[in-house]
Amino acid sequence: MRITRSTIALFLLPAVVLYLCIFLYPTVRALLMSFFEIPNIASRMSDWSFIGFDNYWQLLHNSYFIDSAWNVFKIWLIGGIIVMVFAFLFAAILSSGVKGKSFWRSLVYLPNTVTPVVLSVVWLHYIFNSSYGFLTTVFRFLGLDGLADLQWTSDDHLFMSMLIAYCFGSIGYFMLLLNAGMERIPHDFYEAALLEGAGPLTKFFRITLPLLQDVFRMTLVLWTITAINFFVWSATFGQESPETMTPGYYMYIKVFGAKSSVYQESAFNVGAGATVGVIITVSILVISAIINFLFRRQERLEY
Amino acid sequence: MANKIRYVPLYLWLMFTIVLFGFAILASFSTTRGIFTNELFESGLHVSNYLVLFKDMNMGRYFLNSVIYTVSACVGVLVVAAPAAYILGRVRFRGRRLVETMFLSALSIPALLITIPLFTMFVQLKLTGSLLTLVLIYICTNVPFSVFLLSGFFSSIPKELEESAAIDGCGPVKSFVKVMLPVAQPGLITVSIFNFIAIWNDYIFALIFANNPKTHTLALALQSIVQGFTNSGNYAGIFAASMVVFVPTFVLYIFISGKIVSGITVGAVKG
Repeated sequence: MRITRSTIALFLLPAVVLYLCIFLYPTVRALLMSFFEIPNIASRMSDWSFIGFDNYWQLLHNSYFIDSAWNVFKIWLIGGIIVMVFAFLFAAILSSGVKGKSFWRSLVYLPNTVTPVVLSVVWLHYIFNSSYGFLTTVFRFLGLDGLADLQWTSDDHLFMSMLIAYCFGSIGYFMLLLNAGMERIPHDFYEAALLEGAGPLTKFFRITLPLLQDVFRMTLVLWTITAINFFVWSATFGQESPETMTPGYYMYIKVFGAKSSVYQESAFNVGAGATVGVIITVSILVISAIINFLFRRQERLEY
Repeated sequence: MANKIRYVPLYLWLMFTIVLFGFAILASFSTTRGIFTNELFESGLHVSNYLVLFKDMNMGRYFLNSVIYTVSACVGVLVVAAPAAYILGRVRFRGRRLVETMFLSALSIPALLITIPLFTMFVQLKLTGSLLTLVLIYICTNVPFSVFLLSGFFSSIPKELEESAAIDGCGPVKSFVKVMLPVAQPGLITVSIFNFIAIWNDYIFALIFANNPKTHTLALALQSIVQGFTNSGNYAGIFAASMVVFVPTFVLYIFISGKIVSGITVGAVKG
């Protein structure tokens, strides 16, 4: 069937216009805003005052921002290790021919379908509660009074506790990606290995891992995007406390104001908020490029 | 032996999940006193936790808001994304790569970066403060991913279908609506499930764009109810409020989990 150019245009136009208005224009405008001081989110362009790289310079000397960037780095690194280890473990188990695979897969993915607001509530008010909570009860039962008395939600431990709860809610997605990759590896490879007398561990390290390199690279990039955009849990679990602050949430505070008093003195410069957004985006691009470079491959393995 | 060990992490995860959400459900029918004394049902079942939420906390209204946002945005996304995905998935034309790259690039733009200019734009267009605000935001932000996923579905439909439609005298628009859409239905459903979960659970956009209390979403209302109840020490109420948000998506998930899992797999293999 011939499809005329006007039909193509008619079908594509709404989505393309929407993309230009909602993605391209705001991205360019945010980049522009990062070079201005802007008193109010509703300010017209004529009220902006150009300050060059001042926003960037000030952020790099702002201890709140530096602390929040350090937090997000820890989320990326420590959280990344936890999530990848568990995602790999579950993906490997699920592709090893367990009974009831689709049930287990849906179960591990379940926390990803629950809003962070609810996950934060059940972790904060049940798992980590210091009087009737899950961890206290379990450790008390095991006779580990030192661990049972740990105040999981005190300032000292809040970040670690949040990271554990956050990882629980994120493992499923990365497990699915890795599992999908593992199941695309043809069975012949494993059968051949079996004939050669390879054990399950040898098969995993010699066949699964090397062939999974592309999927793993993509998984790491997606984790980087997720981790550096870390935002919601700072509000729902951390309740705006400095221990759980991330650049994403700091940006929100800069633009829309803070509820807690800690951040109030430094609030409100929309330009600085846009600058944080630009820094987040650039960091994602740079880290993704590094990951792609490290996992580059001279010869593509086709299978 | 090694065969059995494989099941250990799975059963641990199962037990933990049951304990986590099971306790929350039980506690939501208890009292704060019962929760702290570890005797949840010493004074019987308390449905009042839920009644308070719907009577005094307006949870019904926020529930309705979330339903309105989610359903109308899911439909809106399909209206915009399906025709574009159809063209990208089936028709070769000059500039196709460019359009494709465009939608893909949108997937890597952080939502946080665009919220500030978008908010300004909405303020200047006087689009804030109503239910429509978030519906528009949710439609716009979910279109690129949906185009990306749907074009895969459209490209897998056999070519003969359109040809026979053309022989029967259907124009391109009519054959799209009458022939392609029904055939692509599984894809449309999968995409809508993704969008449904993303929109129902969204917090960022709701926090920024629903600045009028009447337009709050369920997740947003839950957060402020939880904060209020934490201050007043109403722990049973906190759990009840969470369950109002959790249970509907959980029930839905039981029915559709297979589709979600295969949908992500499709996206992963393509990406």
